Amino acid sequence: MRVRVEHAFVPVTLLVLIVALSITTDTFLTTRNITNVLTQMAILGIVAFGVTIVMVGGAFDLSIGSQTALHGVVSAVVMVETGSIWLGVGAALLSGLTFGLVNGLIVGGLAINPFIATLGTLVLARGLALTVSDGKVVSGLPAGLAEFGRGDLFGLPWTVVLLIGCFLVASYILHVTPLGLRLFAVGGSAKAARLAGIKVSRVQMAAFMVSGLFAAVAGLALTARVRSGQPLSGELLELYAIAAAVLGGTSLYGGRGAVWRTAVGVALITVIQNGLNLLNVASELQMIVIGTVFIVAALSETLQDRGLRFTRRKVGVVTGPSELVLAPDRGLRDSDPDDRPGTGPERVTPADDCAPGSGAAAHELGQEPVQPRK
Amino acid sequence: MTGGPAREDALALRGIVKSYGSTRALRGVDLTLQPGAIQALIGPNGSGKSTLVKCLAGDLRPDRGEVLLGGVGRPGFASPTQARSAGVSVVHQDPECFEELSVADNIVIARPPRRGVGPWSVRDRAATVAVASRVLRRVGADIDPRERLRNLSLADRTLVAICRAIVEDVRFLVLDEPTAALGRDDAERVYRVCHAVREAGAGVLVVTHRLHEVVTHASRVTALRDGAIHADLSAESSSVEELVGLVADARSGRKEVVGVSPRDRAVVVSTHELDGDGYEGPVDVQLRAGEVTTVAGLPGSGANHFVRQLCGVAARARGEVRISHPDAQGAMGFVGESRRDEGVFPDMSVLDNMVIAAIDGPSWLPIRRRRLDARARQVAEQLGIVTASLDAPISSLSGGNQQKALIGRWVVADISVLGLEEPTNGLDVGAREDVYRAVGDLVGANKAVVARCTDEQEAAQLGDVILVFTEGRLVASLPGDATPGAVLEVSTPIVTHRRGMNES
Repeated sequence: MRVRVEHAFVPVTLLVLIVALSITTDTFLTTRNITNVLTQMAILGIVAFGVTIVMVGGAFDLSIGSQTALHGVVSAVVMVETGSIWLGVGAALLSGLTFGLVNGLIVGGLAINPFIATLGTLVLARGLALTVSDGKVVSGLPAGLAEFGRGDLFGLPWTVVLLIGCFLVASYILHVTPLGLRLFAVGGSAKAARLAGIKVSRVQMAAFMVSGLFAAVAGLALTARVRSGQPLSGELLELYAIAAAVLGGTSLYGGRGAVWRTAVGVALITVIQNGLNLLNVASELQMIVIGTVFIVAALSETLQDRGLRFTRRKVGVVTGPSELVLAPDRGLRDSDPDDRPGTGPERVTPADDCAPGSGAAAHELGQEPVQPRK
Repeated sequence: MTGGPAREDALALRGIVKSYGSTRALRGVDLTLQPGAIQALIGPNGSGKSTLVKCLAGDLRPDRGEVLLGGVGRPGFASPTQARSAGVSVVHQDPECFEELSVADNIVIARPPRRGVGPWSVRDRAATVAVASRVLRRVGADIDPRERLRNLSLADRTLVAICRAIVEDVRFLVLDEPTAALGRDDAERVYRVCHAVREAGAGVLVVTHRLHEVVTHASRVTALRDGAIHADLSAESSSVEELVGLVADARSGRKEVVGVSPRDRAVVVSTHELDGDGYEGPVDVQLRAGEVTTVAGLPGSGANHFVRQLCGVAARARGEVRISHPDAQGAMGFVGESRRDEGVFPDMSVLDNMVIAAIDGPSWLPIRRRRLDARARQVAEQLGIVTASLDAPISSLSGGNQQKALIGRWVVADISVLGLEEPTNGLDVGAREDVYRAVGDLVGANKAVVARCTDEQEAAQLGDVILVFTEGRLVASLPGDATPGAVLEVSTPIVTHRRGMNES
């Protein structure tokens, strides 16, 4: 296995950061904080694993953030109506699969550009979430759910168990099954894939269904954690997820990526947020820092990529186009919390499982209460 | 040494050397273009014509040698812009045009006319149309400058591309296969433009496969072979037959490498009144197990459309392709002309590239890698794929090894018919022989192979049966012992009427 130099920046930065935070703070390397970091990683991680699968197949899924809200709300409503947690879980998963199928049919079947298609379903899912919940936070969930949200398995919170489970499932799909290999092929060259006898639209459809399913799991984790259905949660989550995947080295053009690499990207984002919280950096400043990190990471990779391409050209090897230009900075530029109602530093975030003052993290975890409609 | 003494106003290339990696595409080429004359550049595929054109265009910088223009020598043009400002304009094969812009905008795109001063100037649409009309009139092209480019025929687009090249003062115009995709009448229109440019005092270099055009229109002809000048003579006094001899060369083909296949095997694929876009049917041919059928024809002859439809890669208008194989879906493999766009998955390993078409079983269960990998490794060894590791990305391999891996993909998938397009496109001699050997192995294993070869040399040497297309028609089916010269003769439009269609 060849080590790709161009992907060293992010893992190395993560390691340096962990070491630095362990030395400079006495709080970072505590069981409580590590559990906290893992919990914070969960929602973003689960969604990012799903979007990695779609991206390796050469497509985008921008709808996953809204989907998290939709499937979470669906589960909450079903739980409230039926009083059964498991019916709620089933409803969310079904909702995720169905929505993924719709995305897949639009992209694969109707051959509409995935960026445009899922931009449409992003808005659509948000509208559905608000419709299903009647524009309000869905509360009054069965008591058992609270236990699930707070409980643990061998000391690991359930959301972290879900994160690890999703990591394993995504890795299995992408790196073990025929679907995974075909996704790499389709993302690498759809034309060549077609000529190699691969049913391109079917493969993409499957990827969107997996992504929908993962969004449903994320929605469930969120609902369990905040013990309510939040129709406005998960805003901009898709951009953070894509950013995490790209930070990890997933190609924006498809055909390259790995689930573990996305996990590293997610970890980097989360550790930066956590570290800045521990150092009491204000959330406005945090966004500036994270945005800068994205751009530097992208820059370091394109620079190395250019350097490599220069040396490779000498031996006559064709390399692909450089990547990593779009998502990271986009994701951050658009994520100013003060633009939106109901967020911002002055709002009180539930303090039970989230580090204080983490604007971005709290926001994408959907922990801000939704203002009831007038 | 060619070209005669360089006049002060001539464009001269002296000792141009250009290598790609270990492949020497040009090994010391001398070429002189005289103003006021049309010169032709001919040569088999891979002889270095395109590289030479790219050096003239400023797309490539020669490794060694110099370009002399107007008495000034320089080590090649640094950029297309520099070449253009020196008065050398190149129209590439399939020139990049702007589909959504008007003809006039396409013509002036490099420097749109403006009115106003400096940063306050705006585009001058009236002047744009005026300039474009003037150029179009000058070359005698009857095209409305206000028309959108996408509404134009291929021939008109070619003329627009030439107009774009000559809208500013041009001293030398280089056309790379301008008539390749055109019919005879349209080709004549292109040459009328060339003559107009010549009469205006500029020199014209035309790269072409169509030898009768050379004899009719050019005053000099230069033949390239293996990156060096092979011949340089007066075109007016030479015949098509003479030029055929210059273009055909004595490379070792498949038959020298693996021998001729025995005949009279079972028919695996047969076409029935096949007819489609790009050629005129009905075409009824048969592919036999254990045989290589090559489909020869110049670019634009319809051979490529036919092979793609035969292989089920392009939609066919009428007729059908019958495959006598229980599993017709998985029976056919196809290796397209462009390895980069249609063949390899660049970031995937060689092994993954080879097993991808053979994967079966449910999408959600683990791939049975052990069996597939073992098979792929075996095939890779058989084909002689040279790589440090089969787990390395396929993009790290040379073109020849990539091509072998792509053929290997279908060997692993165990198909019974393989379609190939330009199987040795851009490969050096050694890799070429390896590919021929791979094809030989395939037919040895009783597979049927159909290969589209623009190069008559390859068509003749690879095929047990040679189908020849000319100007959209299947004109001949030659036996495997036909010479490259015979193939070229049949595929050259002007002599098509001499021979009828032989019985296959």
